[in-house]
Amino acid sequence: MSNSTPLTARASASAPAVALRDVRKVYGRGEGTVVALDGVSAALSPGSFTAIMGPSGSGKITFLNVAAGLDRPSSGSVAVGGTGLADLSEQRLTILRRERIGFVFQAFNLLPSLTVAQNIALPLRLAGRRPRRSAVREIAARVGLDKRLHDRPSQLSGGQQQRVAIARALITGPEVVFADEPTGALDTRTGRDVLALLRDVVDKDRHTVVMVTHDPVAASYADRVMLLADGRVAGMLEAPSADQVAERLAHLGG
Amino acid sequence: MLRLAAVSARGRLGAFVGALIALFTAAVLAMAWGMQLESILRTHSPVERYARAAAVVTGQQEVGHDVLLGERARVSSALAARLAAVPGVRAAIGDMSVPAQLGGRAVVAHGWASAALTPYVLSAGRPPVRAGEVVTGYPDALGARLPLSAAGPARMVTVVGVARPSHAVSQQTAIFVTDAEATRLAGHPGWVDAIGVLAAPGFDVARLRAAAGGAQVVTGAARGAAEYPELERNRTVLIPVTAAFGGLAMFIAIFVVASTLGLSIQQREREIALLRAVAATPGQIRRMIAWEAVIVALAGSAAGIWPGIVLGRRLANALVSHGIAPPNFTLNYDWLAAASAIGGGVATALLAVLAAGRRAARVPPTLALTDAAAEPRLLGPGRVIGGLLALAGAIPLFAVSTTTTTPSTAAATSELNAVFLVVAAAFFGPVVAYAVARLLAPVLVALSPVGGFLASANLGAATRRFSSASTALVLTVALSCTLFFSTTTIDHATTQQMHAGLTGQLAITGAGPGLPAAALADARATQGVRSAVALTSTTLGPSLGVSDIIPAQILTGGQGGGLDVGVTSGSLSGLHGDTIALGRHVADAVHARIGDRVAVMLGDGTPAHATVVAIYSRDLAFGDALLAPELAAGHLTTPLLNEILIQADQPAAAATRLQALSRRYPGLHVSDTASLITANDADNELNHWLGPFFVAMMFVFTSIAVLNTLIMIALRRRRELALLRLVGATTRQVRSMARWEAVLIIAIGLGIGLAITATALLPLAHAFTGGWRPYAPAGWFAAILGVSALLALIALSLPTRQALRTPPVEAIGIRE
Repeated sequence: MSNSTPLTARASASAPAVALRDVRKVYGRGEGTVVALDGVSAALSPGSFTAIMGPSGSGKITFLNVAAGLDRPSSGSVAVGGTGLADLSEQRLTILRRERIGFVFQAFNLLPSLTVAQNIALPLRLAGRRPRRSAVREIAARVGLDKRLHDRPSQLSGGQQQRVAIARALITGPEVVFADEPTGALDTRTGRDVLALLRDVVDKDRHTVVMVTHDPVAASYADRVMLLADGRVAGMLEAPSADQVAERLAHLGG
Repeated sequence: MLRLAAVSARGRLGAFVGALIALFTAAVLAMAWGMQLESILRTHSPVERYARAAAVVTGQQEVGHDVLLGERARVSSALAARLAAVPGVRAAIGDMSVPAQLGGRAVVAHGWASAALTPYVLSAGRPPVRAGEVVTGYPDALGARLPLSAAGPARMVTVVGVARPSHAVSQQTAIFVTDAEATRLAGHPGWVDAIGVLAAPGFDVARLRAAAGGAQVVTGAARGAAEYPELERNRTVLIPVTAAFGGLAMFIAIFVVASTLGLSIQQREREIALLRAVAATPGQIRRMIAWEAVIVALAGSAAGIWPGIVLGRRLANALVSHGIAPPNFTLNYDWLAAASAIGGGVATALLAVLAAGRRAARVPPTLALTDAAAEPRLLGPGRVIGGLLALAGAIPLFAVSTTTTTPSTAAATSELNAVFLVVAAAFFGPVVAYAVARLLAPVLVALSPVGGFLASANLGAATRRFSSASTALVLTVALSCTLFFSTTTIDHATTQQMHAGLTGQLAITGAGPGLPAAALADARATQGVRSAVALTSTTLGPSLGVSDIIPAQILTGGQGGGLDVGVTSGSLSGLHGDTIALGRHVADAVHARIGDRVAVMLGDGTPAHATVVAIYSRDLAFGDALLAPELAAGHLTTPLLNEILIQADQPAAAATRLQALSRRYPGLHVSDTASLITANDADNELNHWLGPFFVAMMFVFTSIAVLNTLIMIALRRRRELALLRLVGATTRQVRSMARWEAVLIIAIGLGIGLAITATALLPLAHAFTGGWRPYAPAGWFAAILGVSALLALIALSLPTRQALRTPPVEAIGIRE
């Protein structure tokens, strides 16, 4: 199987958890060209909770995908924990993602054939490591699902599935957890539970969380809100309230 | 709803490609076989020599339930006088056909009076008036002296006239001798093959029938059956053969179409849920699905008609050239074949979507909002019922096939058993998948912690998907192997028995139908020949507990000639007079022992009694009964011997002396017994060509099913594969998972397929050979299994490879 030694040493405390420099991402050709990111630079410090917001078409999803190594930028550089992603082959990028990045999608997070426990442990298995039952149970307890370890995703509610996804994102002890609209498909109360969990993950375990959202209430959980418009950074807010976020968004035309 | 269905079908043609291909292939097969069946039903044996006769009177050639007797049923020659007295009858002429050799040409001799039935008109010379004179029905040298050999050694005759038929007679070359001579050559005085009736004004068939008593009176196209009962028998044998093959093809078609359409509906669950969320009622959903099925079926079936015609033409040519269909068999079909092909396709498609559509229509609209692909529970009620019904059919069939002593019953029931078991396996598939997953999971995880782990997890969860895939393989393997290897087993057993039974050194055969009886005496008298016996193929009518005609042989000469039929009790030296020897299966069926007097029906329908003098074991090779020549004398179509078996001390020398007999018996040929066996093998065209051809056709069809199903499955898993890669699986790990899944599918498919084959073939082998081992040539075995496995592997890996090329971010659909 794949080797389990990390590709580079873990980042020192001073290097930013996520660093983008002058990143451009262009889709399509000729007439149908879309510039999703137009020279974006950002440095997110370790142990921070950042929300990325903007109207549709602003490039926030692309930002997330590029930062997490799921997509390659057309130009510019991306580094996670001090490691540049540009020089890595597809194989090594996958391994890096597996070990140092956690990702939570808006939907379709879990493999339907695997149980909750197996879904959580999947990144470890893919890395060739034997998942320890106690570790899985610990993480599951963290997200409040230690009683449902042997159920399949089809037996869980949307919110529960999201929490399993978060548990899976956490099990490898990643440097950064990226979340794409994690509360998008959930009701307010469940959504708030998920956000509180993410907040907890930052406060207690000193992980870094980068979350794309359109919901000002969700953004208010973050330390920092980055506003994107037309593929460029349009503003930064430090520890804003939900109202402040909503007002800024309105001005952006979102 | 129809418009919606049409639009949806057009827009999502990709999803229907699988079903289209399945329906197309089904239509091609239905068309091709339907053409044969319709043509056979419409073909009649040609009316040639009896063209002028308004009616032909024969014996009852058909007995019981449409059983055509193997020997010609004759009619008393005295009846001709009675019929001639009926008003409206100009003449009633008795006709006899005697196979003969005239100057090296195979001919059929008739009495000159019967020339009027065609009519043959003298174009040169005069009619025959004494023995030794012939009129040929073909241009020949007037006045030539030629050797004529019919019932005995060749005698010189003179061609005194040439006659030509007023319309074509292509099935035989006729010569005419005097009526008295014809009666003498035929060897059954007082009986004629048929009486041809020439009409005068006022001819009335009803009156003729009344006067004919128990004899059969035929007119019109049915006269052909009277003229050539052998051709007629060929034709009627062909009907169940084509029907059986066609039926099996249809079964496979239904199977494939049902599973393909069912799968495509199951995979559209989200789309259907969306429609439900937009407030389509379950009834509307069902109607939409039904209309889609109809549209796809019409499109697919219609496309298959023309290729089906092409295949049908080739098939007909092949059937004739391999001697399975009578030589005059021509294709004669109309819109009926095409209509039934298309109609059948539509009906199949509708049946297929019936159950799947009902389930789909009940999908709750909220499914559109969630995305956990929930598989329905392991076995729905429909599957349980279907599976139990199939098993209920299979179990008694299996019981019969293992306990019956009649080989043909064993063959029929075991093959039908295989069909039922395949259906049961299809219904119970998900349970099997689940069970295998649970059993093998630890092994797989140990062998491959990532690929094997994921594969076994998928197998245990997505049971329906997997079982659809493996079921296609089960179908291919089980049916191909059962059909193909049952014929190889039977063939092999027969050949083994022949090898064991023919221990003599030499064999004599004749050209055409055979050798005159006198040739046996001459062979015996030849220096160096220790013993000789003669065999003649014949049949018995339905009797001895059998409802169809019974293959039998006439054994002239009792014991000797190196013939060893495996006598288990009694002795063949007593086979004279009205005696019979029985094969062990028939003897068991009627509980006959040595010395018993049994009632038999001779080949031409005459009832008789015979004493059992021997019971023997090699009845596959030598027929179910051996008759003494006196028992069957006069009741045969031709009294000629098929082969003379010789035991000689110095075979080479004896062979040369025996070959010298060809001067007396033109066409006589001496060979060794080995070439006799080879010649017999070549005769088995039905098994040697049609069987493998059909297996190949079925193999292609089921392979399409395998490819179809597997590709459909693989294509729908793009999202899942993308997620796997996003969570951190490398392409190598994803491929490993796909490979293990393929291994599992193939293992289950081949495993169950072979198990079903075994339950069919083992009882068959036992009934035919007494042992439990079927004969499966290793090469063919490996080929069938190997190609199936290879197909599955390709069908699974190609779409996966394709899916892996797309960046996972695209595939999972989270780009803006």
